[in-house]
Amino acid sequence: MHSLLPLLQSASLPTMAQPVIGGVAIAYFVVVAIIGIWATRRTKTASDFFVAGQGLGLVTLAIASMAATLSGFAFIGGPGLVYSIGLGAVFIILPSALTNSMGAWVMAKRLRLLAEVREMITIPDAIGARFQSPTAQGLAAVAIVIAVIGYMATNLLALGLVIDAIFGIGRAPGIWLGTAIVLAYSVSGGILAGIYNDVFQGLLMAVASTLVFAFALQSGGGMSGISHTLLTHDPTLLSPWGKLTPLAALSFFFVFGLGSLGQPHVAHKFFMLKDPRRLKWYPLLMTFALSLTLLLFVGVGLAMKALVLSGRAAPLASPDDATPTFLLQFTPLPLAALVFSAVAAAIMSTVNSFMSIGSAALTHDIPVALGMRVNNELRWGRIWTVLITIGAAVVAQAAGTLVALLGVFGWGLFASTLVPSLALGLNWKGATRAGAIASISTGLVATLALETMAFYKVFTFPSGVTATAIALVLSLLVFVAMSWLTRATAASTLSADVRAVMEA
Amino acid sequence: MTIHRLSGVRRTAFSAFVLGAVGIALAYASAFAPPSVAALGPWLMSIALPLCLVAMMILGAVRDGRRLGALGWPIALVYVLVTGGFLLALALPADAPDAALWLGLPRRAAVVLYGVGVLPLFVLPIAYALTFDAFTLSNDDLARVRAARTSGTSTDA
Repeated sequence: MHSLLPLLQSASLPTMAQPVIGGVAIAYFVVVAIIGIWATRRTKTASDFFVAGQGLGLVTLAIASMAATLSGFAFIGGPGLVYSIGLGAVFIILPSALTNSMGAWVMAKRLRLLAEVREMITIPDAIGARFQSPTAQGLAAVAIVIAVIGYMATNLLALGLVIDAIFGIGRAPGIWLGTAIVLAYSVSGGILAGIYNDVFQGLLMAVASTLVFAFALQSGGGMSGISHTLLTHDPTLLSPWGKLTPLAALSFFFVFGLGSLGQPHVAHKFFMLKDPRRLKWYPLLMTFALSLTLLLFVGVGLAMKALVLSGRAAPLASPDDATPTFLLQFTPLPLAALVFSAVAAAIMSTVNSFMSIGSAALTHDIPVALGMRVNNELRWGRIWTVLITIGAAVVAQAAGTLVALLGVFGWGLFASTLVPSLALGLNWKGATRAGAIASISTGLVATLALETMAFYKVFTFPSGVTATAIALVLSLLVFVAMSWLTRATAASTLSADVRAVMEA
Repeated sequence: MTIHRLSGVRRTAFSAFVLGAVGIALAYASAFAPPSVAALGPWLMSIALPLCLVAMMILGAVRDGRRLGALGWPIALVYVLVTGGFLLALALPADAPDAALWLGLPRRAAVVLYGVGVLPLFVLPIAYALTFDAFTLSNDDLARVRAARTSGTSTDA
C-alpha cells in the first residue's frame, strides 16, 4: 500500500431500498433539520457561527469531537479493509488508545488557554498567534482549504452512495440531496448546528456500532469461533500485520497516531469549551465514546470474512459490501436501518466540520495573511460555506481521478502542515517563525508532489512506505532543523501572553 | 537576545522526540535499501515510533523545570506496552491453526490488539484525570493565564 487511496469509498453499495430503512432514514433527517432550525435561532455573531460562542460543555465537546473524527469510513470502508487485509487494517484505529490523551496534553489545554488570552476562531489563528506570523497563518489556511475541498468531495461522494443505496435515486441525485441537507443546517446554524447535530449523530453511531458488534460476535460463534474459522482457511488475516508488511502496518500507526494532532476539524473544537478545567475528563469520555463506535470497524470485517469462508454467506462482490451485506443478512431490519442512518450521520458530521474550518480559513485567515479585514465575517462565512460546498459537490460528481487524488491529499496535508508548528510549536519555546514557515511549506510541497507522483505511478515507493508518512516526518525534521538554525530569533517569536499559555 | 533552553525532563523528552523522528525517517529510508537492511526497518520503527509519541506526551504534560512525578509510571508502562507489543509481534513465530487462543485471538494478534490497542485505554485517560490538578491545569494556572491577557495583534517581525 503506497498511499491512502484504498481508504476512499468510491464504488456503489448494494441497494437497500426497503420501507423500514427509508423510514428510519427520513426520521433521522427530520431530527437533523429540527436541530438545524433550533441552532439557527441561536446563531447571531461570527463567534457563534465559527466557535459556538465558546459555550460548550464537556460531554457535548467529547461526543462532537468523536463524531467529527469518524467519517463513513469507520462504518463502510474500514470493515471492508479488515475483510480484505485482516488485522493490518486495525492499525488505522489502534493509535486511538493513545491519541486522545496525547491530544489532551499536547493540544487541548494550550489551544483552550490561547482562547483565554486572544480571540481564537481558527487553528491557523493559533499558529499566527504562536509565531506572530500572518505568513504562517496564511500558509496553514491554504493547506486547510486544499485539504478540505478534497476531503469534502470524497465525503459527499460517499454520502451520495449511501443515500442512493437507501432510496435508490442514483448517485448524482444522492450527492446533491446529501449536500443540500448538510448545507441547509450548516449555512443557517453554522458550527452550533453542526455541534449539536454531531452530538445526536455521535450517540447514534456509538449505539448502532455497539449493537452490531454484539451481533457480529454472535453470528461468528464468538471471537474464538471467528478466529478458528479464519485460522483454518486464511491464517494470514489474523497475523498481527494482516496481509500488510510490518512496515506498512506500523506506517498506519504513525500517520494516524501522530497525524491525529494535526486535524483542525477536531482541534478547533477545543476553543469552544466553556470552562477549560472541564478538560480533566475529556480523554476518558472521548476514549469511551470512540472505542464503542469503533467496535463495528473490527467486528464486522472479521465476522463477515469468517461467515464467507465457512460458507454461511456468499462471497462479496466488493470488500465495501461487508457492512451492508452483514446488516441485511445477520441483523434485525430496524438495526440495519439505524446503522445506515449512522453511516449518513458519520459522513454529515465530518462534512459539516470541514465546511466550518474551510469557510473560516477563507473568511478569516487568508484575509489576515494578506493584511485585510473582512467587515461582516458572519455573512462572508455563510457565503464561503455555500461556495466551497458546491465546489466540493461538483468535484464529487466527477467521481474519478480528480476526486480520488484530492481525497488522498486530505489527511496527509493536515498532518504534514499542522503537526509540527501546532503540536510541537505550542510545547517548545525554541521553535521559531522560520521553522514554522519552512515546515508548513515543506508539508504542502512534499504532500502534493509525492501523493501526485504515487497516484500517477510516476514513482513507486517500496512496500510499506507512503507519501503521507514521508511528508510528515520530513516536515517535522525541517521544523526542528530550521528552528535550531534560527534559534536566536526564538524569543522574539513569542509574545508575553502566548508565553504564559505555554508555561501554564 | 534570549535563547530558549529546555531543562530536565522536557529536555530529555525533546531529545527523545527528535531521536524518534530520525529513527522513523531511517526506518523508511531502509525500505529503499537491499533486503538485508530493509529487514531492519520494522524493528527500528517499532522502537522509534512509540518513543516519538511518548516523548510528545511528556512535552505536553510536564512544565519546564518540573519532574515527571506521578505521571512517570503510567507513561513508562504505555511505552513498554506499545514497544513490547510491536517487538513481540515481530519476534514471535507465526501461530499454528490449532494454537491456543488468548481471549479469542491468536497469541501474536492478542499481544498487539490487547496490549497496544486496549490496555492503554485504561491507563492514560485515568492518569490524565488523576493528575490534572497537579500537572495540567489548576485554578491558579488559569488565573495566571487570564492575567496575561492582552489585546495585541500579530505581525511579522
